[in-house]
Amino acid sequence: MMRNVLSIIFLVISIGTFAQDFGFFGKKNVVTFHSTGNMRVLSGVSIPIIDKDRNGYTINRYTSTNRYNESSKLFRYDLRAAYKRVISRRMAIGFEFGYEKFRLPSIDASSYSEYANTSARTSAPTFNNFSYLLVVELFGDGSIAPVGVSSSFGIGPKFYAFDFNENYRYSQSTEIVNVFPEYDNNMMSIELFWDLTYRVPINRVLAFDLGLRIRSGFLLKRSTVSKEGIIDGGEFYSSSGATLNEDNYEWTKSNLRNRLNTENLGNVFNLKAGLSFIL
Amino acid sequence: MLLSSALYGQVNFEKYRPLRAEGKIPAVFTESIQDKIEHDKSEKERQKMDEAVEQQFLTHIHYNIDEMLHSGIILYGDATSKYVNDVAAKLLATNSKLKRKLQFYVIKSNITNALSTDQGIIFVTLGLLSQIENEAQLAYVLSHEIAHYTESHVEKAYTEKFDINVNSSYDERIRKLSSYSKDNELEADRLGIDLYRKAGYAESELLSAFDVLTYSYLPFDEEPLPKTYFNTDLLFVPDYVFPEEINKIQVDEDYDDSKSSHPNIRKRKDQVMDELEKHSSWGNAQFLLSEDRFKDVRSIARFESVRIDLLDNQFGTALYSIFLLERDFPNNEYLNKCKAQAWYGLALFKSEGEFSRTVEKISSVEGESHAIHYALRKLTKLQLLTVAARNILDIDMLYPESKEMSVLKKNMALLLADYSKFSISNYYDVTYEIALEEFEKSKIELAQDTIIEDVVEDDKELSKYDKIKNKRDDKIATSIDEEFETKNFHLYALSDVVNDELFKRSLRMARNEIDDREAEDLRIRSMTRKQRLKSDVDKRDIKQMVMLDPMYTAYYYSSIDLEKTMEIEKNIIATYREMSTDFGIELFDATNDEKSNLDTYAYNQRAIILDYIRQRAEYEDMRMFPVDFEYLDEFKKNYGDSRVLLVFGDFVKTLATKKMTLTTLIVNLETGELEAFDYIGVKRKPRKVVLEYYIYDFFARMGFKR
Repeated sequence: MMRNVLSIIFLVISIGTFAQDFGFFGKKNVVTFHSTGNMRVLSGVSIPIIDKDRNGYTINRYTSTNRYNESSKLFRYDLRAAYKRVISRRMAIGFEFGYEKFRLPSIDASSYSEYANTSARTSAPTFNNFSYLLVVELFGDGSIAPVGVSSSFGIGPKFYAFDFNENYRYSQSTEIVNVFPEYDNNMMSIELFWDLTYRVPINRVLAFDLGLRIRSGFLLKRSTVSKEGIIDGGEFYSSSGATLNEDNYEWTKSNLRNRLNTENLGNVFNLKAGLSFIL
Repeated sequence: MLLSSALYGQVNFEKYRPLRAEGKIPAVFTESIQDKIEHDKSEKERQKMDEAVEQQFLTHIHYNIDEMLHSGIILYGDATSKYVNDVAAKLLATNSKLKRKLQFYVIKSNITNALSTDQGIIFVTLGLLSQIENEAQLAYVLSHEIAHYTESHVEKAYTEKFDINVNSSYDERIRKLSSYSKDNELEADRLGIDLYRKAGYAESELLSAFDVLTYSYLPFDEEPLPKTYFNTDLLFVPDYVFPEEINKIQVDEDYDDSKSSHPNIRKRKDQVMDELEKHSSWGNAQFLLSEDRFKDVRSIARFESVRIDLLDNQFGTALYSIFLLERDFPNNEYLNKCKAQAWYGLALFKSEGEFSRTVEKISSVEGESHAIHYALRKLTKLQLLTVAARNILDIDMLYPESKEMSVLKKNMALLLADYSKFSISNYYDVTYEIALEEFEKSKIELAQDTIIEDVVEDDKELSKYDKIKNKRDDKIATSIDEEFETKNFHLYALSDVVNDELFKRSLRMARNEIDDREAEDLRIRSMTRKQRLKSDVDKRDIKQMVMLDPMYTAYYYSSIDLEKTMEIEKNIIATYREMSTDFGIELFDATNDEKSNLDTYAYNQRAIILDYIRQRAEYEDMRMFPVDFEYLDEFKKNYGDSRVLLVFGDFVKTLATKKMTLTTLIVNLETGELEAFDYIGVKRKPRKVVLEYYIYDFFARMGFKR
């Protein structure tokens, strides 16, 4: 009885939000370690779990001891760290740093009939992607920054640094000598994201983050990759009897751009999970 | 004669103070609900119930009873509870085993009822005690309730549909908890006879107990209200405000009971009469305990009924009860003060446009109390305010030292000063009686003058000085045929204070206070939102708080999850304790957990606070006068400038959702104002850390600093 009456009647008055002492138990600094990732969906091509051939999902690589290693890249994920400062009951701002070891899968063989019989096992080009983003996090009505349900917006540059330390090979026996001869500048894109996070406090210091991130962007800078491609495949393909022209270089400049666009900017829906330290 | 009056005076009604629980707090008020359930399970075998249903049943029953036990409306150890226990002891004199299993308490409620619970607690309402005519009637009601217990009727009545909404009023819950099937009722009626008879009570009183039930919707007595009731030396209220006829009492014992849980009274009486024929040996006692004690207890219950009416803002009913009690207790301080409160309440509700909620609808009142409701509705606002002021001034004069009366008087002055049609200069400095006398006198003089004038006119013309003299004479009557105007009777009601500088000053001060308040309102309205919030924070100056038990319920779908409920309540209490230490607030603990060791003192304090909040809750903006003014004053002495902290809410879990609410109130008992209100409704589980940060946030927003 009482609670019913009281809750109806007293709804008219409420405490405002003037107080300066906001934050989680008054704490305003948040350091988050999280990962975002998704199941790679190649536009108009296939869904990895269903597609048995896994065209477009295969990663060819050679270990330092020249052992061939083939794997399917069904999922992508990155590692991220963020620092945010709560500036009001409903808002936090900060920056986020992201890193991803990024290997480009081999080209879908079926769409390049020339290679269909070549048993080509060229190494996948590998990049270290670094993102630096400014982030604004806004909290919902029932939440008190930095815990609860929030929505974040981020923007910043993303650099694709080619990993020259990998063992790039055509095959176990043939090394690629001249990898990306002209790739002297990182390719760069502008990354944008919007995410929805549910930050559940575990105790007074630690919280668990779970969310959904929509990420996209656009390539800003053309790299100085030569038109002919990043690897000189002539010797290899000529020996296998294939006709050499610009189109059938495995990693031409346009190929690379297209693949980067698809991989980095196309897979927009990501899941997010991590831990936050509230200090 | 002397001896009898000495005994009768065991209770000092001259210094009557509202009932409070006394003595050691019974375990049933402090034990945890889980312990009670476990104990109950081991005590009683319920063959018809499987384990899950039994758990659900026990949870349901114990939860509801516990809420009542913690609501402050239950009395123990006081004169009425002791009496009920003593009557029960007479009934159970030969059955000590059963006696040990049962406990009897009194509920502060004006409905006429009694209820028995599965765990052997039997409650009797003050409403019932105020209505009965003798001990035997109470004995039969108790026998009936004991039969409900021995026959496990609560268990039998329990079905899936047996659902008590925790948000319903306590009166509603009492009704629900006391409803059984018609067969069970008839069985309890029948079996109750046995206990009653064996104790030695008279057969004749048994049927009359049903009359108590039949007429329980009426006041505890039927006495015509004289049309001169409002009149005093200084006040005259003309009799046209009273009805010419009162509404008749219309009772049909044989009403259609097909949709009711109880069989109709006629059927119950018929069955009992059949049953009575089977028994031959009857005692003839109306009283096994002393009759004087019964009368004392009944009077206490009646005194309390006035208080409950005031709490429920039923001022018309309260005035009628006071009128009834005044016959036996003339010039009683408690009744006088209640009367002053009732009049203030009427004036307040009239001023606020809520009058119809405090006085019964004329067409719906039956019996003699109709007159008072009729009269109160007949008075205009100015008349009512004046009559109220008159009553309060009169009562204030009787108790010049009373702080309660001086505050009431001040509040009344505020109401008068706030009413645009009220102006003390319009009031006469003579009483109605004197004015009437003068009027009559002047009429006689006028008649004589007319004769003289006729004579004089015949003889000579009036001199200039005669004419002036005639004009200066303030003749009240202007013609011989004129009747004294009664509709302005109220303008004579403040004759003693019209020229009283002190009274006029109090009105001026009241006006100033209203002006200040309005100016403050305007100032606040002209602020930006941020300024307003800052000013709210600045205004709050809270250093001490009293915490009551949180009222929290956890549900899994719609059924109560007891374990969760207990866990959350415990966490809320712990968190408030912790946070108040962090924020430097002195917290007085009136909760009921293992750390606070609730005692009778804290139990009573809690009851007073809850009653006050109950009184105010519906009318937050109104300047309600606290019914338990004196107790609250004591409270302030003990707890300083404390605010009362109230927390309630619920958590509902389903497979798909989790939703919690948490409402926090801080009430200033001094001003009656709600100083803070906070509501949180989130889709989250109220784990300890979640509660902690919401409560932390509440303190932070209140403007407290760590």
